Amino acid sequence: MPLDEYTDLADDALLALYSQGDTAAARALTTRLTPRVFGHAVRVLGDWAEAEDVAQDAMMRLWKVAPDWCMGEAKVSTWLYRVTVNLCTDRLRRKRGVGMDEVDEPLDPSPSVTDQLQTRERMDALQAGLQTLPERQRQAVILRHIEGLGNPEIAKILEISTEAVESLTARGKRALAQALAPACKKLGYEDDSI
Amino acid sequence: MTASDKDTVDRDMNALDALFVEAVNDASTQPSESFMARVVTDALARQSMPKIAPPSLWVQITAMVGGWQGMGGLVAATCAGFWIGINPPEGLPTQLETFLGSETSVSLLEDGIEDTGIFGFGWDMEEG
Repeated sequence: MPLDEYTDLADDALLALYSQGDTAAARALTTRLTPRVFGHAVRVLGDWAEAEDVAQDAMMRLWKVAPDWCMGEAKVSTWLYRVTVNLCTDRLRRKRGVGMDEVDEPLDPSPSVTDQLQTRERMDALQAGLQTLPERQRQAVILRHIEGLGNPEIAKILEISTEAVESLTARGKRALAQALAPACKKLGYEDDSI
Repeated sequence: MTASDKDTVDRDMNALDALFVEAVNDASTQPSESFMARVVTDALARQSMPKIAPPSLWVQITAMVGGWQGMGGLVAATCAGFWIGINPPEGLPTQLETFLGSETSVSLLEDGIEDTGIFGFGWDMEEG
């Protein structure tokens, strides 16, 4: 049996089936949504074990809320991203012991960031670069440029205005490009033709 | 910003866009099979849990007045009050007067005005 046999069904319809006891719907939702929340958590936290905890917690909240879910009111993936974003924020706050608003502007890229580059290392460099961004910028950049979400949806997830999302992603991308600039040659992106 | 600086910025941005494209397809940020299995296990475990139906309106009202005992007392008090209202015990008015000290009466007409059959501020209300 394919893992997601409900390819034509929307997430909220699947959730309704799940709450009615459909086990295939449980598998389909897991297949669809878990990689997205896990991927986001990994990028934000930079730690696979913690990302698993966050993704598992987020999915558990989805299973719990399923019986009360109102069809058509909110997008399941948007709700789940919001939960994931908040769980990541909580983890980062606990780790740092400072508030989100107290995070400084992007740090200068450390030599360790710019020195750890090659083919596989490009992703590691990106990850390291992302970690230099303030948490909100990081979340916005990941949602926009890696998860591929639109600004209005990101605005709902982060509970800010669309203009604020645009500002966050623009500043984040600029800071990230600056952080990775010294590494361009090693990354293999020195050619202008890219 | 010089033309050279602008070229550098453009190159950095292009490099970053290319990195993002790679990151979208980066398999290393995919969850492991064992983790996916754990999530499915959670989902099925939650699904098999007995569903707790929300309490009915009647149950909620009963709970508000203190459960069945409270509801019983409320019904008894209501019945007693109703019965006293339609069939007061013999001695009740006398005892009330004793308690209040005197009989109280209120006259709606000014003293000295007799019932002449003319009311309504001097208008003759009699028919015919």
